[in-house]
Amino acid sequence: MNAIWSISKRELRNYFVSPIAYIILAVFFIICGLFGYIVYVAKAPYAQLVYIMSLMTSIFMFLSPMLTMRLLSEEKKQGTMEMLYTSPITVAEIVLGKYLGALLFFGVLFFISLEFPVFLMIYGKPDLPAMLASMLGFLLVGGTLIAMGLFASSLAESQIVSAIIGFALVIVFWIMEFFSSAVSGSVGNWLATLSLSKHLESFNKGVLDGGDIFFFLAMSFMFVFLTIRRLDWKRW
Amino acid sequence: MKKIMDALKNIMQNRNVRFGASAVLMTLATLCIIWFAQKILSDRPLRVDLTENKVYSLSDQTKKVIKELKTEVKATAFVRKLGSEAKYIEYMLTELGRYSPKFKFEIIDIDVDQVKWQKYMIGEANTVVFETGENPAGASAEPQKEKKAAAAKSLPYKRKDVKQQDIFQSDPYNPQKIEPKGEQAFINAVYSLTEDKQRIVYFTEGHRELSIGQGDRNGLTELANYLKTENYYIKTVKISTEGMVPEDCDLLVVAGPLNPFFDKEAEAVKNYLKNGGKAFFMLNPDLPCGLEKTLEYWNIKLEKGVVLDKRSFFQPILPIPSYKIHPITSPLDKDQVPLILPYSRGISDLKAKLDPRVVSRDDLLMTSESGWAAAEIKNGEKPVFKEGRDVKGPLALAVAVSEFVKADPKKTPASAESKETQFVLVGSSFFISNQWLTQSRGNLDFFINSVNWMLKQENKISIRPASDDLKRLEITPLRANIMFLVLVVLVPLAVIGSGIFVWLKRRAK
Repeated sequence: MNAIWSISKRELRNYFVSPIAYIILAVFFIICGLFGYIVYVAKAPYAQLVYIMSLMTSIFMFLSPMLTMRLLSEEKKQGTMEMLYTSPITVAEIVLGKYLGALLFFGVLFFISLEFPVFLMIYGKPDLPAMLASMLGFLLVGGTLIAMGLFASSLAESQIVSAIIGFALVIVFWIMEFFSSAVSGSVGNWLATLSLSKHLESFNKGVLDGGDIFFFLAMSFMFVFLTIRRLDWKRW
Repeated sequence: MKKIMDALKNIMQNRNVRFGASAVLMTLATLCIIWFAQKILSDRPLRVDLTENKVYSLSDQTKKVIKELKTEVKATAFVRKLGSEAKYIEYMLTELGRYSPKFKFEIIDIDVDQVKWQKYMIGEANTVVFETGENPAGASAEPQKEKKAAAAKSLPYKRKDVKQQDIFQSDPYNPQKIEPKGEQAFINAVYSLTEDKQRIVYFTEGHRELSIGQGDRNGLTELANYLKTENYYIKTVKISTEGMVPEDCDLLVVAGPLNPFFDKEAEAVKNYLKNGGKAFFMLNPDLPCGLEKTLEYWNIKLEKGVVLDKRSFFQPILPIPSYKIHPITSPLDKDQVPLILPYSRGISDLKAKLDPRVVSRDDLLMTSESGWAAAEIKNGEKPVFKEGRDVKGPLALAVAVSEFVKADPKKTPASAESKETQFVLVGSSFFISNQWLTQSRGNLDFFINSVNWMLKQENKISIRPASDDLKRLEITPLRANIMFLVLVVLVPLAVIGSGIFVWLKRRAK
């Protein structure tokens, strides 16, 4: 546990000493800030967090591969992966530590994004529990996107390649519902259950669905597990 | 053969294949677990509706209707089980079934049980058949026990089919968006089976009233749909052509006439009401409606001017009245459901003596203390109250009137029983237009509750299936500037500034 915590702290520190964290955060909050201002002041002045949450999710979908591309690719490229392999730390601890580090960074992003609900609460009377459900959905989908990116990062040495693979993965799972409509029968039905966007719908409506929560947790678990298997394979 | 087996053995012993295979198996296993879990959870959904109005839960009215079922109602859904529509239908029927043992349902997969499907003669998938009594053709959804069958024999058989297009309706403003409206469709079916008679509601025409056929923001199509949901039959009437209010009229609705009624038409409305008729009047401010004298007969006076209320959350011209105690308003008052009456007029009484008649008049909606009726509103000028010219508040914006009238024994000796004249008068008409009905939840409930009260459908007086209320933000120019400064300037600048600070600090080292 200590090893996981140490690795995650080191990852979080790495984010903030490199320009990537600031670029991601700046791009994210400039777009969201502008959109939020236009929507809430001009287009739809309603106390509905879902407008901005949908955009935040979409932008994070594009930014998450950038956030995760260096997690394992950089270690491989710099040759520090071998050092980690030969240390007493297990592969699972390495992967979980890195995942937790990226999650902590996502936590920082989430914390700053609370500016939107705060504004809605000052300027109107939002439906608070529904707003919390929407925020939980964002947290869960963020965790899943990071897990996908982490797995992509374990597949290539080049950060750019990792980012492209990660982005492709995210897109495929995001529009899985669209693919499912092209396939009839139980296969199509099964594909539809894997769609990230479909499982986010209930959170945005203000409904907590056990199935949706389970889906995001299971998907995160699966990609973290696949990353561990991938590194185990490389190790031996 | 041995060579093939050896080759396979070598492949299986290969490290890459072993790791690859275990990863693939694990992935497939996880995906299957997700699918199974989804399937289990869709049968027994673990859902918590956190929305304030419980938009995704059954409404109080639906629960009330199902709980108060006196006869057994069976619902048989003919679906293709793999579709998402089937899941929604099954979920809705399961929810309904939770509130009464008298509500039974069965889901038939039409790909599996074709015999039953054909027996019921259903044309399309995702149709739900609601039944009461015993099916004479024997196409019963479930075999009845003898006792039950004997009991059912005394009930007439009734059947109502709810089709896919009734359950999944497209949004009139966004046809691409399909909204599930199963709750309304199913409750409508239950009403039509359990009610003795379908009541007829007439909307007057010919005075440029709001129209039930008009689908734009000023039309009444949304209202007409909801009335149908409550199992009312809707018709229109031109009293000038008919010469009278039709005899089969259970309720007459006058929705904001822009041109006044002729004296003879007003007389026909008065005669209809005097004979125990029911009506819902919605009258616009500052326009003669031709019904003033008819209303005076029941001691009602229409105030001049447009009502303004400073206490309104929106603008003064959009008052949000408070509820007075009455069966129509009590459920709304209890749940503090807001109602907006845009562009309205005040209502008061003439204080005339009506003896020996006994007329009961109850205020339903009132402005706040700061509400008043402005006789003049000039463009660009802020209206100011002027004593003598304007009417001081609080003002009644809606009233309910009842009077027991004795039937003339000479004319109808056989049924010389007393009847009850009832009408609800609201000093606004736009509150029931498509625009306001979708924006303010209380407007619809107030209208339908009034109709149900007049037509003695008290079991229906409640709060209807909710839709998402859009609560407006109060954004002044100053607040907008603060928002811009924080969201677009300060937060991104703080992030970029921190990055530059860290970079400079590291460079200095």
